[in-house]
This record gives sequence, C-alpha cells and structure tokens, in this order.
Amino acid sequence: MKKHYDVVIIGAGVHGLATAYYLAKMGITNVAVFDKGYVGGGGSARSTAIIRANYLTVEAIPFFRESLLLYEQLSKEFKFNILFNQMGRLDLGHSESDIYNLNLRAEFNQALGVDSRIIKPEEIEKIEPRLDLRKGKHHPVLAALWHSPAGTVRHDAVVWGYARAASKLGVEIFPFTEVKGFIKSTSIIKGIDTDKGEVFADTVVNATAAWSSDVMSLIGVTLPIITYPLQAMVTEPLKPILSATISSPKLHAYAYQTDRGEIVMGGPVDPYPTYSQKSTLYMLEELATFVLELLPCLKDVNVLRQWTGLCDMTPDYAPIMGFVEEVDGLVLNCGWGTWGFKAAPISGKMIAQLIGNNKTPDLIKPFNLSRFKSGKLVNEKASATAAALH
Amino acid sequence: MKNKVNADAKCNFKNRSNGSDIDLSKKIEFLFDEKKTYAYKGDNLASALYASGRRVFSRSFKYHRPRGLLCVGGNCPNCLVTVNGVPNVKACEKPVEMEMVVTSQNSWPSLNTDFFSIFDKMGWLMPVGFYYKFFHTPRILWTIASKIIRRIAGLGSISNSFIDKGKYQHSNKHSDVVVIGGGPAGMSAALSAAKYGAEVTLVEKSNYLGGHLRWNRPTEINKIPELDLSITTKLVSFLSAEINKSKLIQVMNNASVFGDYENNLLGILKEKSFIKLRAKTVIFATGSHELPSTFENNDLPGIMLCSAIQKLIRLYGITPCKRAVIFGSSDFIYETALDLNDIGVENITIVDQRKSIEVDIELLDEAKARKIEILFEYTVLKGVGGSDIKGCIVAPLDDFNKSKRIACDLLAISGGFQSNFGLLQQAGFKFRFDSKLDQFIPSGEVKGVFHAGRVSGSESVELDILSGRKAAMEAVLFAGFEVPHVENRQKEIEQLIENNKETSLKEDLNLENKLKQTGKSFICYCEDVLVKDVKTAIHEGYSDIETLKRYTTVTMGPCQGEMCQNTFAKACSIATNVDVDTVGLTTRRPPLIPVPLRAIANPINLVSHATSMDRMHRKSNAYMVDIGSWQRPLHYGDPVKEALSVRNKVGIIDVSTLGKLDIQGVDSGMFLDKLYTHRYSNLKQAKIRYGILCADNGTIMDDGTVTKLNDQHYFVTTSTAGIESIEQWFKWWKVSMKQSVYITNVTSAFSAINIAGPDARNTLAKLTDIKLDTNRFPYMTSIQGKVAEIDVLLLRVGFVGEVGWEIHFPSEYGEYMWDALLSAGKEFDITPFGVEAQRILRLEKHHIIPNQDTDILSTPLNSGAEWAVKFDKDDFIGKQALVFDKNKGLDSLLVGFIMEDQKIPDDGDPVIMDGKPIGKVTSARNSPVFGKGFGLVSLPISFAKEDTPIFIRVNGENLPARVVTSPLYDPQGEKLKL
Repeated sequence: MKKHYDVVIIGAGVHGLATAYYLAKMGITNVAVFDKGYVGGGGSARSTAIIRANYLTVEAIPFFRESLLLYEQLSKEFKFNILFNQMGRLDLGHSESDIYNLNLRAEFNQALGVDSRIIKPEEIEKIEPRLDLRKGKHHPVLAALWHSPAGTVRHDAVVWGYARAASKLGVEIFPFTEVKGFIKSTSIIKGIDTDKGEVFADTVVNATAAWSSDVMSLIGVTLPIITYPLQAMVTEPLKPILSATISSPKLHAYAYQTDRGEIVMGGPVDPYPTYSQKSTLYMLEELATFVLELLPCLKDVNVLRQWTGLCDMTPDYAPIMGFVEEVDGLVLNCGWGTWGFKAAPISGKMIAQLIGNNKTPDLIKPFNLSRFKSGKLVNEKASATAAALH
Repeated sequence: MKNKVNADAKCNFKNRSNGSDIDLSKKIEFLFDEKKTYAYKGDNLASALYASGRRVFSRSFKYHRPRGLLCVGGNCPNCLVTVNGVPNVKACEKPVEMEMVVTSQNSWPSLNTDFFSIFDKMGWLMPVGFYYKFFHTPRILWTIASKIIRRIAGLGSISNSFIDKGKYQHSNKHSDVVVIGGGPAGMSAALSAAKYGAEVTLVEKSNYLGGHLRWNRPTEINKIPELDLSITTKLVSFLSAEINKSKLIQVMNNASVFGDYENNLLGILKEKSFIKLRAKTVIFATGSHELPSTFENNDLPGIMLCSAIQKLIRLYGITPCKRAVIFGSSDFIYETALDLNDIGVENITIVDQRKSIEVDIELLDEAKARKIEILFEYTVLKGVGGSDIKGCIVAPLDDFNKSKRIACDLLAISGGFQSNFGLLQQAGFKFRFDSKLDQFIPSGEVKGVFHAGRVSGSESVELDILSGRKAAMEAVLFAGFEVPHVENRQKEIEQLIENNKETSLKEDLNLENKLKQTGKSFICYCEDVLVKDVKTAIHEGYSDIETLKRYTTVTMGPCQGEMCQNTFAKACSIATNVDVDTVGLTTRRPPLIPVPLRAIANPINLVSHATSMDRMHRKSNAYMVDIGSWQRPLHYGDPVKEALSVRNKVGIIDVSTLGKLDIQGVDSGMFLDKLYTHRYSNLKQAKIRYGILCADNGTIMDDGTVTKLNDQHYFVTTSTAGIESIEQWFKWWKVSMKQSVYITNVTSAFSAINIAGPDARNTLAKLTDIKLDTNRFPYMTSIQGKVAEIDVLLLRVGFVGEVGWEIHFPSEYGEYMWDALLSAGKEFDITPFGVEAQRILRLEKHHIIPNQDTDILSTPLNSGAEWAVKFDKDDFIGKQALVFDKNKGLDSLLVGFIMEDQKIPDDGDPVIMDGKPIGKVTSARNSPVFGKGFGLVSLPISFAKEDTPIFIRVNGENLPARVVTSPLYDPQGEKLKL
C-alpha cells in the first residue's frame, strides 16, 4: 500500500473496478481500489447480471445503450470470456396498462437507437415456446417487448475480468480493507482512513452501492438513497429449455437459463429497508408462484439456493454519478438500485473521463447529485421490473 | 464402444436377507430405463437398483463419467434419476412405488454408453474455468460454443405438460419447541422438553426415528441416569416408546426442514405438503454425515461410504459385495468390516492410515480374529476400474513408490464426518474447525436456537443423549417454562457430559496425505471439480474461499456442498498456507434441500376478485380483463357504441371496484385536510369534492372523491388499484398524527353502479322517490335514500361528463340492482358500458387516471390539477415539495391534443421534435363524437400551449397534431349540471 494515489476508489465491485480499469486505460495508473470484503463480494456477487438497454427515459436509454455496446467487446478486450450470451429479452404484457408501458419503452427505444419492439403472441411462441401462452388464464400474455441484443453475463467473470485487466495496467486492489473515515482539509478531500492505515489521494470515488449512504455519512454528505433487499433464486441445472430472458413487469418476476443449465429467477425489491441479507420464505413462495404462472413447465424443477442482495435505491430510480458540490475531489458512482450491473462498463468509463478531464461527460450529466436539489429528476420507474413495488 | 459395460447382464433379482426397512413378502415392480425391475416394499430406488445389480446410476455433470451409489443418505448427486417425468430425484430418498417409471439422466444415447464421456478423455481441454479462458475472441466463437456447452451441461430434462399432478397442501403450524432430527440426541431432547411441559414437534426426515443407531453397528452404553440400557440395539425402541407415550410430542416424519428463516420460521416439506412451522425455540439435532476420501478415481462406481454400506446391510438386507477393501482413519472402518463379515463377506482388507496403537483394541482383536487383512499406515492412491470398481492401488504413507494393487468389487471409504450444519448456519451460528474432530462445528450462541448430538461435535451415544437433555433444558427455559431446581440440574448435566467426554487418541493427519492431488481426484461430485483444480485456481489468484467457490463452482451443485465443503476448505488451506479455521466456510443458503417449485408456489397470490355483478356481465357476453386485482368488463362487444349511448341516451357501468373507505371520528375533517391537497373541513354536509393524495415529495399517489355525510363521517373513494396502499397510508398517518379517526375499508361491502347520460335522471326516477332535479340534487352532492327499495348512497358525480349518479349499495343486492336499472332504462334504450367506453368518455373530459396519465414524477401541478391544491391550507402532505415546484416553475405539463389527420396514436407513443423524443402520449383514443384521434400528452412547458403544433410518432411515422388545453367535450362542464 502506497502513501499516495492519484485516485482512490472505495468498493471493489464491478463499478469500482471498471472505474479503475478505464482510468488506467486513460493513463491514470496510480490508482488503488479498497473493499471491506473480497473482490466483487457485495452487490456484484449477487447480481443476476442481465444486460439490456430497453429503458424508458431519454436520459437512461442512450446511457444503457452505450453500456451494452461496451459489454459486447469486453471478452475480446480482456482476453477473458465473460460469457455474454445475447439471448434476447421478453418483457411480457398481461394487461392494457402493461402494454401501454411496453409501448412507451418500445417507442422511446426506437427513437433513441435501441432495438426493441412490441411483438404478438404468435411471435412470442416462436422465441419462447415454453411460455404459457394459453388465453383466458389469470395473467394472459397479450404482447411482449422484444429486445434482441439483451443477454446475460457471468457476473463474477466481469468482476474478475476488470480486476485482472486493471491490475495488469498497474492498479492496486486491496480486499479485506475497510474504510473508516475520510481525510479532508476544509472542503477538499485529501484521502481516506482505512483499518490498515491512512492513504492520501487527490480524488476519492465512492462506489459502494448499498453502503454508499453509510460511507458518505463518514464525511457528512447525505445521499437520498435508501437500501432495500432484493432476492433471487436458482434451480438445479437442466437441459436447455429457455432461450431468452423472460420478465413480467406486472408480476415483478423474471427468469432465464444459464449456460450451465440452471434457471435463475428474481423478484421485486422487498418493501422494507434493511441491510439484512437473509432470504425470506415469503419471497420463495411468491417467486415460485409467479414464475410458474409464466412457465408452468418448471413445476417439478427444484430450487437449489435463494439469496439476497442489497439495492441502493434513489427516489427517481436512476443512478447518481458525478462530483459532490460540497467536497472537492469527491466523486459518486452509486444509486445503482436494481440496474447497476448492466451499467458498469459505461459508468466506469464516464467516471474515468470525468476524473481525467475534470469535466462531467454529457452522457451522465442528467445523473448528478444536485438534481435532487433542483428538482430535475429522471423517471426510470416503469422499466425497472424489480423496483415496481416502490 | 469402450464405455459399454455389462451391467445389464447383472440385472437379476438377487436373494435378499431381511432388512429393517423392507418387507420381503411384498414384491413391487417398476421400470428402469424401460426395463422391468423388482423391489420389496420399503426399498428405495437406490437399494432396489443396487440389489438388482446396477452399479452405474448416473453420468457426471462435466466429464460424463459413470457414477454409482456413494452416500445412500441424500447427500450426493450420484443417484439422480428421473421419476415419472420429474427430473433430478435422488434415488436413495425415493421409496419405490408400483409401476414407477424411472429413467437415467444426462447420458446419450444411454446410461451405459454415453457419447459425451469422451470429455473424460479430454480433461486437458477443460481445466477449471476453461470457459473463461477460451472462446473470448472472436465474438462469434462464444455464440457457437455456448450453444454446445448448454446442451452438454444440465442434468435432467423436463416435459412440457401443463397438467399439475397432485397439489401440495400448504399449512401453518406452531410449537413451543421444535426438535429437528430424530436420532438419539433429538429423541432425548424431545423427551426432556416434554417432561418440562413444553409442546414439542419432533421433525425427522426419514420414515423412522433412530438416526444413525438404525444402521450403525451396536455398541455398549455407559450408565446414564434415567436410562436403564446397556446396549444401543434397544435404545431406539425404548426412546420411541417413550415418545409415543408422551401426549406433548408430535412426531413429524418424512419431513425435511429446508430453511430456518427469521424468528424461527421453519420451511418444511413433508411428502405432498408444505408446512410453515413457527417455533418459540428450535433444537437442531441434525446429526452428521460421512465424507468421502480424495484419491485418484475416487468417484468410480463401487466406491461407497462406510455408512452407505451399513445402510445397505441393516436397512435393506443387501450383501453389497464379495471382496471389499475398506479405507479410512477411524474405528468406523473396523465396524464396517465386521458388519460385512457378519453377513458372509470373508475377503476383506482394511487400509488404515493410522498406526495400530490408535485403534480401539477390542475392535482390532475382533478383526484379527476374523482373519481380516489390515494394512496400517497405508493409504489408497487410486481406484481401478471403469464402470465398476475392479480394485485399488494402495501404498505405505511414507513411500508411495511401494504401491501394490488389491482386487475388490467394493471399496468402502470413510473420510471422516462433518456435522450437518446447514440449518445452523442459516440460523446465524458461526463455525470453527476442530482439528481433533476433523470437522467444522458450531461456535457461539444464537438467541432461541440450540443444538445437540453429532451436529455439536458429539462422537458417542452417551453424549448424544446428554447433550439432547441439556439443549432441551436451555430451550424450555428460553420458551418461558419453569424448570424446578434449575441450577442443580444444570450442574448435574454439565458434570455428566464432562464424565462422558472421551479423551481422543486421534492424531492430526498430515492434510497433504489426505488430499491426493494427482489425476482425477474429485472434491466436488456435483460439478466435477478436482483437487488439482482448486490448486490451479488459487495459483491463478482466486485465493479466498468465496472467490474460489465462484471460480471453481465447488459447493454450488445440487448437493449444496454436503460432500465437499469440508474438503474444499482443507484444500484451500493447503494451497494458501492459511489454517482451515481461517479459511472458513462459505454460506449454505436456503433451501437446504432441493425444493420443487410447485411445492412452494402459492396460487392464492393469483386469486382475482369478482364484483357482485360479475355473473351478469358474463351473461351479457362481456369481454373481461384484469384490472388491478379485479376482473372487469372491458366492453360488451362494441365500446364505441357504448360510449355514444352514454352521450346520447343512458348507460350503466359497474364501478364496484372503486376503493371505498368509511372515515368517522371527531378529527375526520382535519385528518382529510392533512392527507388531501384539497380542503374538506369546510365542506358542507352532503357535498362531494374531488381530491388528490400526494406523497411527501408532492407526487400523485391516488385520486378520488370525498363525500361529507356529516361533521364526523366521510365517505372516500379511491382508484381500483390504489385501495390497499391508500388504506395503509391513511392508517399510518392516523397513528402518527394521534387523531381520533376510525378508518374502515368497505370496498367489498358496497357495490356501486354509475348511471350516466341524458336519460339517467328519467331512468333513476322510476326506481326512487328521491327528487333528482338539479335544484334539489345538484352536481357534486349526495343523498342517502332508497333506490329499488334498497338503501343506497347516491353521489352525483360526472367522471364520464354526463349527468349521472354513482349508486353505492350493499353488495348482496348487486345482481338485483343491475337488473332493476336495466329494466327501468329499457324504454330509454339503456346500455351497459365497459371500462373501454368509460376511458374514451373520461378522456374527452381530460379526467386523468392515476398511473396511466401520471408517473412517479407527476404532481397535481404538472398534471393540470393545480385547482385541486389549496396552498393556503396550514399544512398537507406534499405541500413543501409543491410550493418548491410552484416557485421553481413547471418543466412539463399534461395537456390535451388532437390529431390533424385520421390516424390514432397508441398510449405511450412519443412526441418527436428535431428527431428526438420530448414528450409522451399518456392516453389516446379515437373520439366517437369528433371522429379524430385525441388524448392527453405530457409536454415540455414551452409546448404546452393551446394550438401548438406537435409531431407524434405513430408506427414509425411522425404525424402532426396540435395541443388543446381544454376538454374536447363540453369544455365548460355545462352538461354535468343539467
């Protein structure tokens, strides 16, 4: 551990590591990444890692579109396969109001260069014949938003890919090193205090997701972030049966099959804020019910594991990226709620540019912290399946 | 066809002796891979297939190696089969039933000849993490490779049938003390707890109580108070009888606890039922399980755990072999050897890694007396054979070069034991590695949760019994029961436990010897991970246990780490030079055992509500749709005709789904003033006022009407979907404001019909004496009276823009009232109308629907409803934010639009300016009255002015429209007041 780094990043998850990697690629290699646990052990370890760009707002769509394009090149760039499988994504519509929201997304996606469109049951059946498309059931599938470039990655591989590539370029990574406080002179950041000693830095990036509001409280900055649990589960491996990622915004459930054959399923954000990562029986029941409503063919399939991650939710369901007005040299890369993993490459790249050029890139301008003061919020609720309860 | 084995030739029904679980007088027939196979009643699939000569049960996940029975205890993935179309069933836990259809999995074309087993020869191509290392460039390579990998990976296949055979019963149960595990410790704990007066539920995963005593070789028992037995054989029947006698103990057998959730909520699967058991306190007596040893080819069919051999012998009356080698480093291998010898296996070799002095002298003498060959300080280097074990290579521990081959048809192994800690880990216990016991055992305390027996590290029956008693005492004290002379008793039991602790002679073995790293020495059977893979991964930098687990996928397979977690930690310890305790364990998450989705799915979550008039709608051929949790008629054939009918004549719509709250109490007016943006305290009796509910940040949560019945009594309606959350919102504020308000949700108690149109008054007049003329019953007022002899609350409101009344009445009269109105309106050509017609009509009036025309950033201000916000009120929820917004000035506004040509946009189409979307259509319809597309649109404030031209993208085409700020139909609202 050196005494001084140009940039110190708190949080060695996918966002922290991506930021470090793109900084190093820009030539800023005197960078250190700290994490209180193991590398990629927080939200990154628990993400179901669906990559898509079919968002809703004019602010978010171009942002996630760029992220998806970066994801397409990552394996090649790392020479390490992140297992990006572009299987496509179906967001199902069960009612007129669902279709309204899907149409909103389709239209805005197309207008902003993202390939997504509304398709009817006949076409849905061709893509995903295992879906229960029978008419007259409780939640009939009336239409779907088909987003073909969407896919899944192996979340750990992305984290490892960034960590390997960053450290090859000279970035130092310190797992199991907890940040205890900040070093500040008047309103300028000078470094951080860890359980292994003080480290000085010109710029400090907070990329601690669910813990970002806690970490910011160490320096007296209040973030409009509340941490909620988000649960998921996985079945035993099966021979190929699903070809796309399937999501039902109305039922707040989604499912896809991994390369190893397991079916990964996820649900809505839990309705109460907590830092507990204990899974609940209630969510197991609810997810099973909703997934079987979509895919009754899975009825005899066994669940192997359920787990819980934490989401740093913002009031407008959009992230917070950029400088903090009150503290010079402090940069935020947080508020990632349920949409963090898919954003990591572009957010890392943009934050790196922001630090390198000392100027906020246009792509992330709408996501600054001061929007909560000025009232210029971004409305991403309708497209965050998992956030639908909030 | 090198992989061909002659297993089929051996599939004859062999002679069986009597086992405790089987009934030799009852034969059962079933099909395995289309071949008729026989079993006895009480057999499970594993015992029956093994007895019939089958050795290969499955093919492994990655290398497609043949796998046979290993644990016979549900802890490994080796015997997964498909039963009656259900994949991944553990054969050793599935009782054979008549005419069962069983098939093997993950092999092609057949179990004995698996084409994909070529992967076993290409191991060099598939090092750990191979899929990360290859296929990254060019991109197309992974697209192709992933398709192939998907086909090869995965275990069972599933059928596509929608038929649900046999539903699971769901139930909730409660108990003072729940004891999990019906072995000696669990039985003893249950009996003790019941003695103190607690209601006890004893959960046992098998059909029988007794645990390991049922298959272990009988041993003598030291003297324990209140237990007058000298040998373990009688212990099970003695304790069972005591338990049967107790009225306070309920035994739940064939029941598996799959999760210990917050506050001792246990998820249990018992045959075809799913039980949620809430316990005051839980005692885990979940026992331990045996682990395999690691050496090359340690996965060959015919290599089995010693406990598995004992089960085959004692429970199922099977003679498992002719020639056995038994390998391990504990006395347990001697007991297994004697068990085999008892049933006539004469040719036995024991390969003991220990020195002779470490062996129990009586067992050693007995083994010698029976001419069992014993190799001290020897180890097994390699299993030999293909689809069945043929022998093994053994060598002295100090010189692997002096190896020799021993022929055998069974290699029994015992790599030690590991406590079944999964549930304890879920309950919040930490674990430490006990090097003497060679396993992880729980440490520390968790409130309300206790453990006893093997799971706590006990190695003797005496300790099982005593630790069970101790845990029971602690548990009942926690649950609030009184224990007489508690301190004496505690001291007494502590003393007994101390007296019965054995001073172990065991020495720590060199871990390196135990984990042989050459060749295919498997750590993880589920995911085909080798000892050397772990080493490789660590060298690649994945050095802490969590990262290592994710990279190698060890512990992530169907066995959830039962077989591998202990060995995995040791392997990690060796490679990183960190002690096993520091390496630690990865988290065992629920469910602990695989749980079928349909067992836990709870279709009650999917129930939809029907209104009291539902039958009438269906009789009139209504097209029903789900709206919120309700089924409602979208239309009765032609929504446009229905809409015109309301405009020109009269129509009725079932609006029972409106949320309804009855608000009473002296503070009601003040309370509503606080919650709504509008003012209600000054409302005159019988008056109605529209209201918007905002969140703290000023955004719209819901809207509806508020009717003042009297000074202390209001009637509130909410949107259909909003009622649950609004009821909570009201009650939350009632409590936090400490006001005298009583809130009752009367949504389902009252049905409602809206009658509207020029002839609404004439129709209604036929059914009531209430004077309906506009002077005596003006717009936005209410009257309570009788309609068609029924007590009703009449609200004169106008959502659809015509003269009309909402009739609220007790739900039991739904069908009667509907019929009465239809009959009365016959002469005026009355038409029932559905939700679609209502939407067209309200849109012509620019009446918003929350969540359709609003989103999470919509406020009354930018939704064009500023008139409903009383800024001069003291305070109301959202005021601060709305004042801020008002001072800042609006960014966007919801306004009307009308198309310039004949095309009609969809809800959600964007407004395009300079090629970029700048706004969105929230609702759009074709107006039956004006014959043009129109609707509501959210626009930047600069565009939200009368007659501003805009372009709406409809099916990819930018079409011209213009902004209209006042409602299309009856802009002054004169018709409402007629």
